[in-house]
Amino acid sequence: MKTFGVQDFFIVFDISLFVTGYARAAIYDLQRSILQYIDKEIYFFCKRHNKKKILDIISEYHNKEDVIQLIEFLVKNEYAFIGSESDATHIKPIKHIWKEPCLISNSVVEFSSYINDNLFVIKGLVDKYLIQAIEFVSYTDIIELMDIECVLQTFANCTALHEISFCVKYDSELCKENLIPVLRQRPLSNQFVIHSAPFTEYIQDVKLLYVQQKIESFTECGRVDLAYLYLNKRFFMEAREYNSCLNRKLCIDSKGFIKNCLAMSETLGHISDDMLNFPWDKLEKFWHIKKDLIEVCKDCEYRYACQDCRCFVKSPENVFSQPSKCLYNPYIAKWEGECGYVPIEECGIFDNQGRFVPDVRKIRSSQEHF
Amino acid sequence: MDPTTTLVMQWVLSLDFDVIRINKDDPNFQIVYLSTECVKIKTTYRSCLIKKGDVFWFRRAGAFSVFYTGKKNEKNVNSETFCFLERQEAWRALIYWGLRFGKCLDNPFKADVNKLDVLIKAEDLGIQIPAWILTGSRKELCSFAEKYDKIATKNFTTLQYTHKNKAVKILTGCLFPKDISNVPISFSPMIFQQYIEKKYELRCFLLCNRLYSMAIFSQQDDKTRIDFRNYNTQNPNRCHPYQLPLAIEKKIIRLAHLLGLDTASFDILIDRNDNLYFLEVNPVGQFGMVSYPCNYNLEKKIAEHLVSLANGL
Ligand code: SF4
Ligand code: SF4
Repeated sequence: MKTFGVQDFFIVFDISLFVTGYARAAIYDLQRSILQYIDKEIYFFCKRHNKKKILDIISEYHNKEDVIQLIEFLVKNEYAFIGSESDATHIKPIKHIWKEPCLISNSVVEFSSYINDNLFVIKGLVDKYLIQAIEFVSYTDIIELMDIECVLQTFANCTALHEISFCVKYDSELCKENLIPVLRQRPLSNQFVIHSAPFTEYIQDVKLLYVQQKIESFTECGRVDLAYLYLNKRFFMEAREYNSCLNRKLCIDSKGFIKNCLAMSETLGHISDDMLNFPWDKLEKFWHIKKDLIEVCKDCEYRYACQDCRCFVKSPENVFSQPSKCLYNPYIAKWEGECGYVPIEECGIFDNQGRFVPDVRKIRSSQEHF
Repeated sequence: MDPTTTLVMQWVLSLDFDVIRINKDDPNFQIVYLSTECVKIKTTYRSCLIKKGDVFWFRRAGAFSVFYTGKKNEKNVNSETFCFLERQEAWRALIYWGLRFGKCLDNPFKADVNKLDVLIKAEDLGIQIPAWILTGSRKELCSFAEKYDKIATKNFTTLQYTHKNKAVKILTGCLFPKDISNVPISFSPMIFQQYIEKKYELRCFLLCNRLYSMAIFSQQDDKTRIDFRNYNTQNPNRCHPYQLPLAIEKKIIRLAHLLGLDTASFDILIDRNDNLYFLEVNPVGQFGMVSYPCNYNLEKKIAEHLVSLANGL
């Protein structure tokens, strides 16, 4: 058993990265991009005892050995450390603010011949709103190599833009012999994905990826799955304040109509319109719908790593409805397919305003035989 | 391209100011003309007219001139080197123009600090530093080493050299007294310091008279015990915002003023008894690595500072 000094303090590195859900809690280890699941009791323990003297903490408990083990576990994994009073005063929590130097941070454009003819209009938008990332997608139409070169050239000298990505359908002209030289010339391009390809290959230096999977429409977007979690500081900070998918996003469909998201049918305007009359309120209406407001998600420990789809939701009449493609039940901490999984509907009821009310009895009984 | 610079530029743009980036390795960079009134330049992406009173931020422009001083005295160089040196001088002319007629953040000619000078200035200000000696003799080193369990070596430059086709990075090392017998009797003089067993390290970035500090907890991990720059990418060190005691913060800022630095990154070490030791200053500090983990948004603060310079505040 480790002995502690009288002047030893228990200091949790960043208590704000401890996030609790209904059934369990998680530590967002953003520096290492991992999520460490913990019991809710540990969460409350850390919250309560952060920056206290260790001996005082231990004296509060009967099962002293467990407390010491817990502290040692947290220290070993570098979620907490044992320091002096001076450390406790000088180590500060990370400020939770999210700031980006732009009105629109990213844009998804559905590629078409219309778009190709109007690239300069889009470039105007990119320059005006300091768009940082733009992605061109085409799911059914074939894009020619010439068009790709033209896009890369058009956007080459936008000062704020630093990411151009593509997700386009395979065509023999888009073979790597043709594409690699083009991409090498323009270091701005970020990720180049070619779907429906006859083979799978990844060329690292130009980030060119061929996948066999067919992506046929936008309805495939919005999946919620362990593989689709984002564990980074930027995402975390944004998700705490804003919608984690649509915040500062502006999409343009193949006919030049502006939308919140390409999978949504509502159009907000057209790229040829005068942006002075653009209905910004409509574009911004989703921006402030953060995860903490969403039914069910607000009880979920994944809420600051999970993209919040506002297009495919369980009850479209409720603006705070949960994404319908979610495969997770936070009331029992299980993913669909895991042993003992039941859908959330079996863990509570939706009241007449569409709010979810968990039912402890139901949750217990659904988990009893495990 | 350096992402931190990109971010600063985006912030400047978002504050409604124009900005142009000149990369010193841009093959298409050209000074079209330069007069006392204005400079016209061209880069791969655009051309631009710089007027008197415009704001310059010299980001790592200094490292360049340091790097090539060795070659400058050679009389016969091949044509490639000649062109290179000519271009470099033109580049320096632009910097001088900026310093004379523009408003600047950072002076690249002050970026070249001498470690000993820094240590002495720090000591004068009452900043605690580890005991040190500058020597090139084994005998002297021995008598210094007798007083301490372990000694840290420190070289003057932070360059890297090539040995057997591999780049050797010179980082701070550690020397045990028993190893001193392997040291040549006389060697190129360097600074040795008492090795302080650290609890954690601080990296403090100075901007506009404020210090933004970050604590780096690396002791758990043998790879980074001596020098944080021996990165451990699998298991990065825990980094955390830190507030230095104000009295020390003031002294550090004073030190930066004495050295003529607008921005800089300071390395400080905290030992097991909470004593604070100043180690060194890095005039072309990389603030991205402090800004991102601590969420300080320093890129925004730099941009705001540049804009306030432009507004004559
Ligand atoms: S709102 Fe949903 S469908 Fe639309 S982009 Fe986001 S995740 Fe995809
Ligand atoms: S409940 Fe589902 S959609 Fe909501 S945050 Fe959790 S995993 Fe994401």
